[in-house]
Amino acid sequence: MRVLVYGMARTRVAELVRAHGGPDTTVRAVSDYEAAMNLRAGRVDLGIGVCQSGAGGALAVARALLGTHLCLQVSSPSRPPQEEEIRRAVKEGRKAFGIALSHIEIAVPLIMAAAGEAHSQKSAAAS
Amino acid sequence: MTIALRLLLMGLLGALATLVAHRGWSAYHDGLRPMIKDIAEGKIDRRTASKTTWDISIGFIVSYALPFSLITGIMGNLILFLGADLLGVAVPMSSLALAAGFVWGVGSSAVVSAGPWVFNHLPRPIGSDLLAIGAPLPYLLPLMPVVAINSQFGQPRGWQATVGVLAIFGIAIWPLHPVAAATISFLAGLALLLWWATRERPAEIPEFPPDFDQGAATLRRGLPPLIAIGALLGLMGSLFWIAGDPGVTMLLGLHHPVEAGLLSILSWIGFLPLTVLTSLASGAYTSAGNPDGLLGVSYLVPFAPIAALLGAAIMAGEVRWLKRIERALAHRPGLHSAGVAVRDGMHTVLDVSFLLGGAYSANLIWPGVGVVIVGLAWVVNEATGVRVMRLGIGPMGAIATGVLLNLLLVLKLVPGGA
Repeated sequence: MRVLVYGMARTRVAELVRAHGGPDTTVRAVSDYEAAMNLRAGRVDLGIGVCQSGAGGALAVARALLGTHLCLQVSSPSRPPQEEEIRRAVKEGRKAFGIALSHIEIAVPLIMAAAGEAHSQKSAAAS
Repeated sequence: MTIALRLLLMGLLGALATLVAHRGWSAYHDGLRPMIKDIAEGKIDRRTASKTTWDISIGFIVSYALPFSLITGIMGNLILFLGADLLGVAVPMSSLALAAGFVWGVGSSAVVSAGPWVFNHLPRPIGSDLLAIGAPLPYLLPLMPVVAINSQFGQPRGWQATVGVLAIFGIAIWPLHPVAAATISFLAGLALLLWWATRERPAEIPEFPPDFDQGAATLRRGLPPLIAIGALLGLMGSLFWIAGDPGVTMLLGLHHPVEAGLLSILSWIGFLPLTVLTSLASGAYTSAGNPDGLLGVSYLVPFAPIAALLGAAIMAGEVRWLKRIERALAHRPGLHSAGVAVRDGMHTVLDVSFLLGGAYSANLIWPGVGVVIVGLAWVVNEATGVRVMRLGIGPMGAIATGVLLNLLLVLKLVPGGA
């Protein structure tokens, strides 16, 4: 699975992606614009962005270039991430996930678990 | 007289900022912008939208902007405009939105203006000690481009920039005041960042998305009120009544208009890619112009009417040339990354600067206790998942120290001279 991380605390988010992704997971830290362009072109599978609110730098460019239907605001400063919502979003094929800075430690593992599950099902179906 | 004029102008600014959000012409919050047109057109219901807007804005108002505005008496853009965003989204009618925005502008400005007076009229006045929160910032400004370079280009160039900027500071400090030396080092670091960022060339230049054309045309509908907002911001910026981010608020409060102007312009570079893309895609602009370029210019223009004209012109220019700016950014993708990196640099340095300044200030207010209160607040906030934005811990800790000390003085629980 190819993952791009962007926005604040990118190094830490990349570590978390590596720790919670499967052995075939690759991760790169890029700008929000580069992430959105690559997601739009289908060159990567998943984008994870972080900012203070979870909606500004974390998601605004992705919403602008991909459309709101392919994005999920995973959390906001007063709303922690919810596992069920993340799983549903991954199933719906959403690609860009925006997290509030205070929730990266909880949110990234949840996103990687849900995405990993969907990804392995897809590869199993393909083979 | 001045205070009446200030309240009136803030009221007007609040009314206009609420109107443009209500009509879906612009939004101040980057996270709200992609949805603002759908809210205005009724595709997203106002009640749900208000809740989301509150969610993503309240932290910026309360723990990010408000403490600094109360200390300096200078209105923070985020208070006025995020409040206006929320009212514009929540209120169902234009006339009501205008009225609510006006009341918000006058009310919030009255509260902010009263801040320093209150702090200076406590049994143990704390107003001037609180201003010390900003004391480290002018000297730490050169770290912002250095952190940005490190974030964008990695450690080797980060170290090169550190050495270069330090060398310039070391030389400039001989003939100049340390603040001036730091400001020159800051400019040198910024020049280096822009030099490296603009040398990057794209493998392929992405085409101008056709829906962006539509967006550019749509967002011009809001031009008249946006130009009026530009003029009001220029005018009030030149009088040092309103500031962009907390760093700028403190620099203005400490009478460093040049540094405040330069930091605002750095912020402009940081937000440009984000606002340009979200504005073109959503057909709604940024209510205060791309933050905080036009305010930055206004601090450097001492004559308020000229600053007002410039503010209006900059706003008009940004909206008019948005497509050209997008193309320029597409040809220089390094500037996209530089935007994110600059915001990284600003956040990191402001966090450190206000923690140090907050601890220093709290300890001036109550020696030996203040520093413990701020330190404890920081540790607790980290341990409980950073619920308060880091930048707010220092100032909130210092204010809490001052209020606690005064409370204990009134209750005669500490000796009078503490």
